[in-house]
Amino acid sequence: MTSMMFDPHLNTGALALDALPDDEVTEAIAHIEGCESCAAELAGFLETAALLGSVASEVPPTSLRRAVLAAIAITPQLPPVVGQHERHDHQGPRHAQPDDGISDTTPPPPPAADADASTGTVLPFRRPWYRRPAAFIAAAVAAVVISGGVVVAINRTSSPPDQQVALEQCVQQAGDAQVLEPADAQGEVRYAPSCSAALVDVSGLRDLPADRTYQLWVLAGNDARSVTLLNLAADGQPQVWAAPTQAGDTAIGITEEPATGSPQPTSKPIWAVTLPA
Amino acid sequence: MPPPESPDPYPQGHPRRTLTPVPDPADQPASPEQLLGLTALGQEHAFEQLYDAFAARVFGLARRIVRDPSQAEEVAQEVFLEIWRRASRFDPAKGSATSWIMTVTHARAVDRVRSAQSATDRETKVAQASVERDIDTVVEAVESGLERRAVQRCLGTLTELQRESITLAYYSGYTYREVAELLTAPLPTIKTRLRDGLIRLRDCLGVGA
Repeated sequence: MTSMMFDPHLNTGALALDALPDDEVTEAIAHIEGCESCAAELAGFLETAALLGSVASEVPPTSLRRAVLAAIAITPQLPPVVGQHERHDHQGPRHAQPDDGISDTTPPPPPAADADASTGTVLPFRRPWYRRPAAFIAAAVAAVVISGGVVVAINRTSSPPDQQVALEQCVQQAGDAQVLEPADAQGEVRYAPSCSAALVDVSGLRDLPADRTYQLWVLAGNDARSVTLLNLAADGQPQVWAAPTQAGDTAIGITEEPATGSPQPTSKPIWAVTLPA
Repeated sequence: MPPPESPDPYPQGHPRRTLTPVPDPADQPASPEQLLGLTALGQEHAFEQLYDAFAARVFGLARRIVRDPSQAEEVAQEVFLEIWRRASRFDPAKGSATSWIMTVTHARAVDRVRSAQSATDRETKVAQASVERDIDTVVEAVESGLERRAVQRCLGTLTELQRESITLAYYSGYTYREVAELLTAPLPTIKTRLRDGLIRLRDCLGVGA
């Protein structure tokens, strides 16, 4: 990893200028969050960069003002962050907190589990790929050379086989099914809004080391929902996975993740397709 | 009989004060931080004022980075929507409202230029880009206003490599790896120049660290 060559303290400059490539940003932010002098330096750099940005001022067309004001009139706002962490739905087991004996709220998950909360209180940085506008996701795919033909199997943990069969049959027979192909044609998604499902063809993904897995995601605007993990398989495993979708979903993509999967995508998609609205 | 003296409203020993009119608080321009605070409460009027104060800066920076005016408009709209949505997350203890807004703007514009092009396209573009032209444009743009002159003067105090690295990264949206490629300099050198160049700029511009 090239980033290991560098003293992490030196990343503040590149980070303030959005000049770190995606694969170095997470590590750099993690370091800065634990380094008070780095955080202070970064804040000063961001103020400096704002002055650099200000000199490029140019009056926008008046149509922009109308468009912005019309858009905010129908756009809800995010609630403030409560305490250090965003409020969370109750999930997972309740942990005893030494300083929280009388509270009946679920302790917040580690900040990494919610990128919005962890960056919301600090400064907004570049979005991970899955938070960018859907139209640009397909273009953001990593250039992965796929040496075809390896059988990939599916870790059936997230939806029961009979649901899989039912969704698959529905999509196969749906009149509104559309075939969507990622930009590099390494896969296929058959999407049927009437079934609230998409069939994702996962054949042809290359072999992964034992400590890595593929993970299938459905994206809805800023949110990425994990559908399932996809592991290297024995013969005879299905090569198509039915992903349930909902109104408002914007894209489907596959990433490479650590073997146990990730709560949110941690790498660029191997491929992604945008779902028609 | 002389008319009774009108009672002196000021008791003895208290000098009369000269009163000067103060502007009606409603007329006083609010700071960007105040406007963001009001925006977080859902006040569209405060948001409009914020828009008017920042539209040229947001659009101008987006335009500089994405070049295409209609794409710059889209980026600017995205930025203002994000400001509206996330106003409650702004924390004045962590930096100024201007810095927050310009950071969002830069990030969204860079997202746009990097997403819109495949890796191959970008490599070609990097290879073909004219470093000289980019830097000249920056200097030309910095021509009026105290702030502009200060930025220009301070950019002039940087070494050539610091200045080229910073302007290519910031105004063209290149990663430091692409900057290193363009300037045929080692990666660690560029990362270091970005940082020490910013330190010099920050101190020259008198930005509180």
